[in-house]
Amino acid sequence: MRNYIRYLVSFEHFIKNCMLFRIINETLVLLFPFVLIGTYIDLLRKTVFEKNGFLNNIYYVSTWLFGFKLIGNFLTLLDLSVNGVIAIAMAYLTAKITTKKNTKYNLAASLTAVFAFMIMNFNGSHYLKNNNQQVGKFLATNFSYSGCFWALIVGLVTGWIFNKFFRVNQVASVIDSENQDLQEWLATTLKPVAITLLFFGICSWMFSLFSKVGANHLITTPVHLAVSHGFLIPIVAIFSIIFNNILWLFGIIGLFQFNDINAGRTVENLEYAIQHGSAWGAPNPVTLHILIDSFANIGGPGMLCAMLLAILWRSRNKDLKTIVRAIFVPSIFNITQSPLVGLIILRSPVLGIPFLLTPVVSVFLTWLALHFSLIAPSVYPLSKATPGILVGWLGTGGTWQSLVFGIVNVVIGTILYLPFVLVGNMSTLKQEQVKSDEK
Amino acid sequence: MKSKLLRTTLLIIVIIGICIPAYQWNHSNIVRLRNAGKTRMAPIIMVPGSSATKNRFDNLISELGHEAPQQHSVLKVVVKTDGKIETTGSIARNDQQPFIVVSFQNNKDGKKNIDLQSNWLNLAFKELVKTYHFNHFSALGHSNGGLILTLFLEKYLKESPTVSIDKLMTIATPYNMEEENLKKKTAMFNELYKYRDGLPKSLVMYSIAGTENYNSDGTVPYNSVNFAKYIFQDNVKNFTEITVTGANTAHSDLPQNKQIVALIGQYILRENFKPSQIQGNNKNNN
Repeated sequence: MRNYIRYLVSFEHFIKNCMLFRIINETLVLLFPFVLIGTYIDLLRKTVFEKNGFLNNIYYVSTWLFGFKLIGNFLTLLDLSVNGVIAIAMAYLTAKITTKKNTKYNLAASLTAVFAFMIMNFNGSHYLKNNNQQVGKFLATNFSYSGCFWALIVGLVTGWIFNKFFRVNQVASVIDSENQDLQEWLATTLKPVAITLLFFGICSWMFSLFSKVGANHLITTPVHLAVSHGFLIPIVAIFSIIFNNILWLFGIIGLFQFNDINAGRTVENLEYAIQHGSAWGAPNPVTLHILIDSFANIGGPGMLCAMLLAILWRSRNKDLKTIVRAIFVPSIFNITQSPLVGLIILRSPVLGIPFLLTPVVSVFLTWLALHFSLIAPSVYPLSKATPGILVGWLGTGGTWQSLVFGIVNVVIGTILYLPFVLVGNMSTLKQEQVKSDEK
Repeated sequence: MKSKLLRTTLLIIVIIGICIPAYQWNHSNIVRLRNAGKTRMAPIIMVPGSSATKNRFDNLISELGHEAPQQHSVLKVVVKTDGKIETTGSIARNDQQPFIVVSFQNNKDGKKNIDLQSNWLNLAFKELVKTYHFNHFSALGHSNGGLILTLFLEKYLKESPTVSIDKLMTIATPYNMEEENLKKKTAMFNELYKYRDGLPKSLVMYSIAGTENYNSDGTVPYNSVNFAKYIFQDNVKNFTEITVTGANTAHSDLPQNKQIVALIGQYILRENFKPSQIQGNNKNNN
């Protein structure tokens, strides 16, 4: 047991000190305020100012709030221009931090990364445009959180190219001379900029041959699992949720569309419930949608709610607590962005283990409960941003068993996260010791 | 200590303040879904013309059975003169568009009987809704069956407010009885015209006329079928008139006329008939 703990602590150290993760961590720290503001804009918009928002639905906000539509439009503007372009900032920052040697040097690199990122998101179907249809030049959806993975890659590769081809001593002279020599600046930057842009141009063009909607789409094409019926469903659910959460951490969102996979069965369930006035005994109690969306993602992917509770309860890492306090309210409404969770996990990498495994436990428990008819399957459609803990309860039309089960699930999740929070504490302690020893 | 108590109280108030309205909204939403959601089952109610029995549409149904991608079950209902109903056949569990043939013990012609029959249809219809839980349907009437259906839609459908009609098709229905003269309006037409505002506004209506010659299908005058426009046009969502000529266009042959069968498949059955099938039918016919 002790060996395991020691192993985990050293794993935590290894990740924290790994160059790649340090770059990502620093990028995420710099982005933190922007993502946080974006998250609250998203929260406000999705819960209150959207037609199907949870708080709007239950308090009928649109009927009594003057200027509801105007505020909604204003928030949409903010949402699209903050959350909507976060990946561009990410590419910029990653390249900047990768080439962190002096100012001019990394300025050129980070600017190049922005151009490279735009190149990677060129819309392949722009070639096919006809007069009737307006086709966007860029895949604007990839500028949002779903493009963060590519932004990181582009930033890192650009940084690497600059480190390789940019002569640092030459730069030093450029920076030193007060009257900057244009010719010298050109001579030193032209090559890496051209190489990077050409490289990504070729990549983007090649991707567009495979997929008309850009590189990101190659990864995020929703996977539909054809084998998902009968006893296979829980197994498929467990594998897909692990895989999905790993990818989600990297910012690859929407690979699996759990809503759509069993859409037919979900509709059958709904029809049954409408006709019989109850969700009990619906024809398809076990679907991926019920297993995963109702109970395994409370608070966000990876039973985030349980993670946040465990950190708030026992963690001694002040940074972690700051992050958790900042994102707690949005996560109640299941609104979380992957960079925020990424930030938590990079601060305490051992948390990545329960992040992947807790949903497995809750999927399994949900399956057992459904199998023995302890809870009714959730069948009714819900508002946007319904609090995760209420999803099961409201989805079954308000059966108390589901509410209790949701709470039990969060408690079990918190218990599962707790040991890893404690290991994180040990690692923090060790780090502090090392620091004080150095002094 | 005090602040902790305050915080707990506040938390409980917030939780209750969210849960109770959420529960209420959830329930009102379920009620809304129940009312708005159309059931998957939407039967096709067929009403034969005067003097015809419950077996009137057997040929048509077997023809449709050859052509349609899916088999449909058939329920035959006979309404007795005292309003009691007698059924034969059954509706298969997974059949989303079963055929329900409604015929009458008293199947005599004449305005008085048609009025009675539309009332009987209403009684049977209510029984059917109660038994099979559908909330929308389509209807097909041949000859006077079309009149019975139209009267039913105008006067009685509102008695079943949860149920709506999608499509109505009448085949060779004499909206002005046997009258050939365009200027003479029969009592039957006047009644249909008088109550036309009762027709559901969302109705999609097809009136099919068959003609052996320029004037009639041998029994029903073309002009009488054409009177449908005075009742339906601009009064329902869509009104389409179709005239079928060629082989098998005598009045009693119309329900099994291949072109009309194809039209029924195309417009009334929700599943898609392939164009090739429809064309093929025409070829056979010509």
